[in-house]
Amino acid sequence: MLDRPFDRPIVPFRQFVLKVHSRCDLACDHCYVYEHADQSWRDRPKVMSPVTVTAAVARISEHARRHRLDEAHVVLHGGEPLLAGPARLAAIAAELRAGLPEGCALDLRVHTNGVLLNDRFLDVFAEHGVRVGISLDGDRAANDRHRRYADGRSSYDQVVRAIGLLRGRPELYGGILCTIDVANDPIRVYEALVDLEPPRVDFLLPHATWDAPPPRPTGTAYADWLITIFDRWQADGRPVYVRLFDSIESTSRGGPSRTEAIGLEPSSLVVIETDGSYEQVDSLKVAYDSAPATGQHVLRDSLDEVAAHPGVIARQLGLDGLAEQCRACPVVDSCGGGLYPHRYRSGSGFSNPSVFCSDLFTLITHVRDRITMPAAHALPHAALRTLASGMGGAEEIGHLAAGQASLARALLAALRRDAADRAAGRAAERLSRPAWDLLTEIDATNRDALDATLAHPYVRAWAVSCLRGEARPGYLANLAAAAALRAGLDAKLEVEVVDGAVHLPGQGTLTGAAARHDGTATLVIEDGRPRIDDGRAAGDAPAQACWRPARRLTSRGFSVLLEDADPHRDCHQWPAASRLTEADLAAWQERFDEAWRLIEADLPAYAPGLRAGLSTLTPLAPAPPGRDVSSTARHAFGAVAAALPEDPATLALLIVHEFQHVKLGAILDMLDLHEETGGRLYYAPWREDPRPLEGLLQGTYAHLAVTDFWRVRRHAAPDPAEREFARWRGQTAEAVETLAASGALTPVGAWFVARMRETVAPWLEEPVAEAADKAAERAARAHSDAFRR
Amino acid sequence: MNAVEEIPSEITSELKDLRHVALSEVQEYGGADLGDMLRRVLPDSPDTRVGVAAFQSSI
Repeated sequence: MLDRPFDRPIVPFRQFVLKVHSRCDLACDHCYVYEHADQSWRDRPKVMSPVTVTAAVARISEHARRHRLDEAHVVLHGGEPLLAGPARLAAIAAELRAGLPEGCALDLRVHTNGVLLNDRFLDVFAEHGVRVGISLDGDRAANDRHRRYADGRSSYDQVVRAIGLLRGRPELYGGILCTIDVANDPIRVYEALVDLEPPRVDFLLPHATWDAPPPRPTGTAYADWLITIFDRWQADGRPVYVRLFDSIESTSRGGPSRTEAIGLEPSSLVVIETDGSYEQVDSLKVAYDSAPATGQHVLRDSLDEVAAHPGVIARQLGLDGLAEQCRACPVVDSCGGGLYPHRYRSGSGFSNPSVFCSDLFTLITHVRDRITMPAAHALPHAALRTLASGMGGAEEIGHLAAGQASLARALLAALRRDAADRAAGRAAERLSRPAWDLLTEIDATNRDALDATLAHPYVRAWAVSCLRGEARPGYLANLAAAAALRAGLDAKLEVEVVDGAVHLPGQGTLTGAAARHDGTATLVIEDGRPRIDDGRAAGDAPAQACWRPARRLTSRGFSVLLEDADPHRDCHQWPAASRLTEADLAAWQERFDEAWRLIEADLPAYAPGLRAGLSTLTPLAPAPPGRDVSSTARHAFGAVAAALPEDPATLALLIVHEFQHVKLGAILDMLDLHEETGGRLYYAPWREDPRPLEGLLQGTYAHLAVTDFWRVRRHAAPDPAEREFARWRGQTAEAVETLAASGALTPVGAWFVARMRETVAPWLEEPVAEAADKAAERAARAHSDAFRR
Repeated sequence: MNAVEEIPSEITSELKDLRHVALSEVQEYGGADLGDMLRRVLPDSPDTRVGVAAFQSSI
C-alpha cells in the first residue's frame, strides 16, 4: 500500500456506490466482480442489511453536511442490485431521500443487467426518482458472447424487453453501458444500441492489466474498433450522447472528463459493500486480491477517514500520480493514464501507462483531428469605441449579432445536452429528437435559414427559460418547423400547442389547433404550407386550424417583425399585448412609419444601427394614462417592446432609448465591463429605486440616446425638448461620473465609460434657455430629494 | 476609479465563434468553453458539473 503521498486537504466524496446485493443472476465471463483476481464477494452477505443501509446513509449524510455538498450521486449496484427485490430497493431509496441534509440534492441511479426488470421495479424507481442504467453489449451475437446465464442461455431477449419497458417510461431511462469485445462487429453493435434510443451510451474497455492483458488481435484493435463507431456516429449527426467521445472532446478543449475511464480529474468515489466495508473503486478487483479494500467500515469509520486513505488519495493526484511516460505524452490531459486499474503490473503497481495506452493514444488523436476548435469572437477597438460613444452602425451591430448567433447555437447545444442529462429532460428528449435531427439537417443544407430562425429574439428567451426549467423543451420542434418552412423543406413534427395555437417563430401561427393530452399536435409542412395533421383521411372535413403569417411594420424600405403572437414574448417588465386587431395594426403601422421618418430625418446617426439590429417590435399592453411604457429583455436581442404611444415622436424616442439597451446587453454578453459589486446599489436619476452597477450602466448608456434625442428635438419642439435636454445632459453626465468612481469597472469598462463621458461632455457646453435650465435643475433636485427621503 | 487610456486593438471575448461549427458538433462542444459561454448569459447556468472522475460502471 502507498504511504500518504501529500499532506493535503481531503477531496470529499461525491459519488457513493452501494453494493446492495453481492450476487448476480448472470455469469458474464468478463465481469470484474466475479471473474478476476479479487474474490472477496464469496465471503460477503448476499444483501445489504437494513442496519448497514442506515449506517451508510448516516455516513453519507454526515459527509454531505460537513462538506456542504450540493449534490450526492448514489448508485445502487451489485452484483445484480435487482436481486435485492423492489421492497428493499424502495426502502433504501426512501432512506436516502430522507437522510440527506437540506440543500444536498440526490442523484440516485441503479445499474442493472435488466433481466429482472419489470413494472413493479419501475413503479418503485418512479416513486423514488431512480434512473436506470442497463448493461448490454450490442446486438444479440455481441451480447451473447459474454452476457449469459450460468447454464449458457442468452440474456439478450430479457434485456431488450427491459429496455422496452424503459423506453415506455423515458424519465427513468438512464442509458446503456456496452463492454467492448473487438471480436464483435462495431457497426452492428453501434446500430443495435442506437435503435434502442438510449439517452446516453458508454463504451467500456474490457478490464485488463499488464499482468492479464486484453485479447489484442492488432496493436490498436480497441482504438480501431472505437474509431469505426466514432466515424459512423459523426456521419450520423451524433444521434446519441456517447460519454467516452464527449469526454475526449471536453478534455481536449480544457474541460472535464465525464468518466473515470480517462482524464485527470480526482476520484471522488467510494464503494460501500453489502457487509458495510468501504472499498476504493471496485474495478480495482481486476488488479490483485483485496486491491480495493480499505480495512474501514461504516460502523466504525467516517467517510473523511476513508478519504484520507492512501489508496484513495493516490487516485486524486492528477498528473503527479502518473508514470513518467504518461506525463510526457501529448494527449495526457485527455487520457490521464486511463482507468486506474488498467495500469497495474506486479512489481511496479500502478505507476505504469494503461495496458490500453496505444489504443487511447490512437483514439484520442483521431478524435482531436476531427473536432473543431473555434476561435473567440473579438470586438475591434474602433467598433467598441463607436459603441461606447453611444452609436453603432451596421458594422458594429454586425459584431454584436455575430456573438448572439454563437450564443444561440451554444444554448441549443446546452438544451440538447441538458435533455440527455436530466431525468426530467428525458421526456423532452423524446419530444425533441426528431426536431433536433431536422435542425441539424437544415444546419447542414441551409444554414442561413437556421441562422435566421435562431436570430428571432424570443428563441433565446425560450431557450434560457427552458434551461431554467421554466419553459417546455418541446418548443424545439416549433423552432425546427419554422426553420424548415424558411428553408422550403417539407416536414412532419410533433409540435407544442400553446393556448390552442402552434407558433412557428418568425413565420406565423396556426390557430385553432387541438392539442393531444401531452400538449402537442402533429404539424405537417408541404409545399410551403403548414397544417395540423389530425389523422383524418383525405377527403374528410378539413382541420380547423387557420394559418396566420407573421406581420411586419414597414417604412422607407425598413421592415421589422410585429411580434404579437410568440408565446415567449411575455418576458418584459410589462405584460405583452394580445394579438392586434387589424385596426390596432394599422395604428401601429401609421405610428411606426412616422417615427421612422423622424429618426431618419432628425437622428440619422442612429438609423443604420437600427436597420441592422432592430428586428422586432413587440406591442405591450396599454400604458396607464399619461405614461409611456417600453422595455427590452436581456435575452431578446433585437426586440424592442412598447405600448403604442400617443405620438410618433414618443415612439421614436422609445425605440432609440430601448435599442441602447439592446446594444449594451449584447456588449455585456461579450465583454466584462464591471466586476461583481457585492450587492452595492447606486442612485439612478431616472429611477425611483437604487440600481446595481449594471443597471446604472444600462440606464446611463440609454440616456446618452435620450439626451441626444431631446437635443435635436429642441429645434422642432422646444417645449419640452429644451427642458428635457437640460435635465438629462446633467444627470447623464453625473451618472457617468458615478460609474467612473465606482471602483468596480474592469479596465475595458473604465475605458468604455470614458468614451461615454466624451459624448456627453460637449453637450454640457451647449447653450440652453435659462428657464429650461432652471426647470431642469428643480426637477433633478426634486427627484434626488425624494430618493433620499 | 479605474483609469485606462488605451485598450488593445482588438478585445477578445470569452464567446467562442460557433457560427461555422456544425450544430451537431456544437451539441457536444462541451468542455470549459461552452460552460463559460453559458455562465456569461446564465450565471445560474445548470452547467455546474463537478470536475471529478465519474464512476464508469453506471450511466
